[in-house]
Amino acid sequence: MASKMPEKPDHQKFRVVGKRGVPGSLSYPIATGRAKYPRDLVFPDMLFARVLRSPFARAKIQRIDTSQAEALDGVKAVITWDDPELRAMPMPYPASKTPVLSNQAGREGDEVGVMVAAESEELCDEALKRIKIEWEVLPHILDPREALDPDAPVLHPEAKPSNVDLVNNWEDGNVVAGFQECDHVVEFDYAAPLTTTFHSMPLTIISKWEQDPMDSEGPILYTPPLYRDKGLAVAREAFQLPWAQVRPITLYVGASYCDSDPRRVSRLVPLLAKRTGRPVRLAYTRREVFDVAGSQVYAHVKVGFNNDGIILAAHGKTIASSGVESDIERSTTDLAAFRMTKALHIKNETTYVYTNTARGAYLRGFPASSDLLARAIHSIAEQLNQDPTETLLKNMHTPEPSVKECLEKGKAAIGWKWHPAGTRKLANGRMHGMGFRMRDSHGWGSTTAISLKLKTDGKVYMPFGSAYFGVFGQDALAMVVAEEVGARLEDVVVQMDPVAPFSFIVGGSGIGSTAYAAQQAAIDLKAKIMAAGAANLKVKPEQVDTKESTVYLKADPSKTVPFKSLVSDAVGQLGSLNSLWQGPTPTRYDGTLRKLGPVNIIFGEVEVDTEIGQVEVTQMIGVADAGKVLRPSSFEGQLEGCMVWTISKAKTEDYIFDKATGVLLNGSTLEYKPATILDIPAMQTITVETRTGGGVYGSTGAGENFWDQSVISSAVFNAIGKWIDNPITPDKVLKALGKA
Amino acid sequence: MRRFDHLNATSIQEATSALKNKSAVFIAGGTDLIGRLKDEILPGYPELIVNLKTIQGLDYVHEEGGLLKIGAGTRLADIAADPIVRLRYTALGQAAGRAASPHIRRMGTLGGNISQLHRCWYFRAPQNRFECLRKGGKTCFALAGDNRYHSIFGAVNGCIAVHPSDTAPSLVALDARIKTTKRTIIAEDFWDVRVASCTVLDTDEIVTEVQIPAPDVGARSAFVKFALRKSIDFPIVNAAVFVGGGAARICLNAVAPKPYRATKAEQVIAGKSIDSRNTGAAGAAAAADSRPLEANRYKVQIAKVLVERALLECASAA
Repeated sequence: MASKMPEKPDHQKFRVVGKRGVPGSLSYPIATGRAKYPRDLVFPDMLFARVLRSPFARAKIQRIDTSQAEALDGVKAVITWDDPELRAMPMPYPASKTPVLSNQAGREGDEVGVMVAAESEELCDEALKRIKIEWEVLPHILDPREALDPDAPVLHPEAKPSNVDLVNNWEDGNVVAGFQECDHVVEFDYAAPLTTTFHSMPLTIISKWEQDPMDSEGPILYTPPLYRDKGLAVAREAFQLPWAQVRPITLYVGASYCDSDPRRVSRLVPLLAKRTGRPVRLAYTRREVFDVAGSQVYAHVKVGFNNDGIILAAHGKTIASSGVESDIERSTTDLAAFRMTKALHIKNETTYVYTNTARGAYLRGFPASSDLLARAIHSIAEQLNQDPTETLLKNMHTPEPSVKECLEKGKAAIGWKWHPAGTRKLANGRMHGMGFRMRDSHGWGSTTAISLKLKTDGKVYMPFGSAYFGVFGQDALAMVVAEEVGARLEDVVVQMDPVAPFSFIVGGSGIGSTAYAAQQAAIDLKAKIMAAGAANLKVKPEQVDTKESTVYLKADPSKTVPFKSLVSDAVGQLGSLNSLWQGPTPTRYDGTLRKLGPVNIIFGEVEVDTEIGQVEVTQMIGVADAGKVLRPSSFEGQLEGCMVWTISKAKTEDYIFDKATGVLLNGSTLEYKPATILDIPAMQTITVETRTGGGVYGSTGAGENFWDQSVISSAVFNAIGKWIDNPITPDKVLKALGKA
Repeated sequence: MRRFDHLNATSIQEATSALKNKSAVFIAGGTDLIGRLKDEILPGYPELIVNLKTIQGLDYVHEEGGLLKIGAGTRLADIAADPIVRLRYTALGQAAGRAASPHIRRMGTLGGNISQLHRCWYFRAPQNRFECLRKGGKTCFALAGDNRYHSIFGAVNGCIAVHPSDTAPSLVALDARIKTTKRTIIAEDFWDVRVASCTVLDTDEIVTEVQIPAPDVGARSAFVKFALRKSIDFPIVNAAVFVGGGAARICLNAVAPKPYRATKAEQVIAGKSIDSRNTGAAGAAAAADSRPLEANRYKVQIAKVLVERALLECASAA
């Protein structure tokens, strides 16, 4: 079905959409613990599993003897990498040609060589200890800059001749000529560390095979769907099963922060369950969750601008880590954010390289691009003694009022009063700073399906078959359906149904587009309802409308027919009215499902104790133009989550390795130090609705780039006049100030 | 976590006797021990865990005979909330209230807090990944590795791990005594650096009580801590000071393998007015003997400032 861009509606006329105080359909089970996540599930006769984790950053198993493990009482399966069924599975990371399990480890903690299933986790651990392994320890690379050294070991020689994973080079205009037009040039280096995807609940894979009494096709595999149902997709591939034979073992997956990597264990655990004929559970430890991370980035950027502060040219060279391997396309660590400015000459050179660190992933937004722009804007403003919010506005080429309105609302909320860097000392002796970061965030459309059914109880049922990971997106869709159908909100039932048509929702950016599908299905259903109602009232469909779950005669609203009396009247034995909409949601400019994104601007205020190098974040304000906010609490929750992680990334998060061995030294919450509630300052979210996105009612989604980290570094720059890369720890601050 | 036997001891004698036939460890709040066992950081694993919390009479705070007496099994949260501690032994109250997190303070005991093992991410790496000096090995991996949080006052027995207790420097500053099943130890002499141990305690020796002499009228004490997070974080540096009767006692922790008594700083400030000039000099003196490594040089600056601020806090409380 073809998509069409909707007209921007009058925001004042909504009856349900945008309403506050609407509990989520799953709020009660989640709040009470009735919701069962994979980690909560227990099945009779269940086995436990472990996969061997490499103690070395890069190593090869030369010889393995599993006989003592197999002989251990209670051990039910030991499978090594040379197992034929395992070897036949598609590669999870085809770009680096790494198989589901091999005898080579590419990072400390990598799954390698062998997995076991036993009656307890303790037995699994004991079995792994009894396996005799002869390792060949190989040289490793932790720093992506070293990966390009001609003498560096090539990490995936079977796939690539060097450690270059991919190159993202492009040029708009002519950057050499562009710089010749500039009055000033500012250059800076930028670095961002590896940061973990940090599942709040460590990943757990629990799989079982069962013969479905309703299905003669063969055994059904039940396994966790994971983020975006990828857990099901890779299991289908691995075991060459049709859709109907791989089903979610639960629809609860827990927060995963854009971590779309289903891991090797999504194939390994079902295999163990298949071999043993019993349910098998593999639960990650907290340390094991550090297996996937956002890119480690090193950039050098040169920005040319005129006397007015307008950027004319920008040139960036970036080296970023793909980690040991990656299953995603990475193309956002670049100067793309500069395309929001009036600059005509932009040149980007980004090289992604393999290292012996965590697998590369999208992570809580795309960090580097808007960080680089923020650093440029604040640096230019400082050099020209301008308020950086003015510098930003001057540079934006967007014709719409979004940026200006977001800036003004944010400035008013935080009490913005710009001062040159390092010039405002507070009464408590600390240095005061404010900064901000603006981003025309990414936002994605999707191919999706929504089906609706009006049943004889007068309620509209919306089966939803996609994993539920916490933004209450389904409830936003229910509001749209109620709005369009003319039903009471309580008469729209979100029915979590593992075999429902695919209904795709991604975090903060995708609800608006999936809701477009819900709207289209609802429009279709409403037409059928009105036809049935009109027949009941013995008038033409155009003479009726719907409200409060009834059809009424427009000329005489006292004449009504409740929805519940329509269904059997209309279709007799079938007992329901149906609609289905499926297809791609609206897209914008490049045909890649990317739709008009939200503008979001985040402001931060800091106090820097220059004696001990401590940064205190005192205030954060998030302003976002999402076109149309469907469910305010979902929207605000997304933004608040982003701001919390902004602080965490700015102040503490980093992967710290022992350079000699490549062993992760801070692979625990205690050592990795995500922000605690006491580290979070007063926060405020502000909604702006000026844009017209490709989602329903012009929605753009909330976006994720609030997780950019440059807002805090910009504020610290304003406080002390020094740029400090994340995490902004006391050693770096004191060193920058010449005190360490 | 591996399996082990568990004994709820009902008396000190039962607890110590239980050690005779098995490899055993004591547990009180367990907030350090359980993590160690889960991560299997040590090469050995106890067969038996002896619970001290079931022994009656180890949980109390009261003044008696010119001493504040605190049972070793007293929880940190109770010490932090005790009005006498807060008023007269302020440094200890502040330290107990700043340690770990609310949850852990409601489990962790004073005896456990001072007996916890060192913090070093090589020593504490799971699965005994680094067989360091403290595990009977021959190498201090931190010395050549990442030592940003390690000692700025050199090694003890070759180890540069730091002792992380928040209450320990307060006890040294307050001139406490640690009473055990075998003896009474001056707080300053309580800590040591040995294989898999951070105290002078014998393996079958149990801390039973902490005694602090009642301070003179007009004496003040304070504790300050610097950590990356405001909760559930070990100190990068902490400092406790006591001033009164013309004397001063100053102790830093997380800067050395043992709580570091800053005697030079004490000499600088003793008997002098507590003003920014004198406290600055005391802070500088506290770090005068530091020997930082390249990655932890910043801790020297923090140590200086914390001593200065703790002293000024005493002045402001006066």
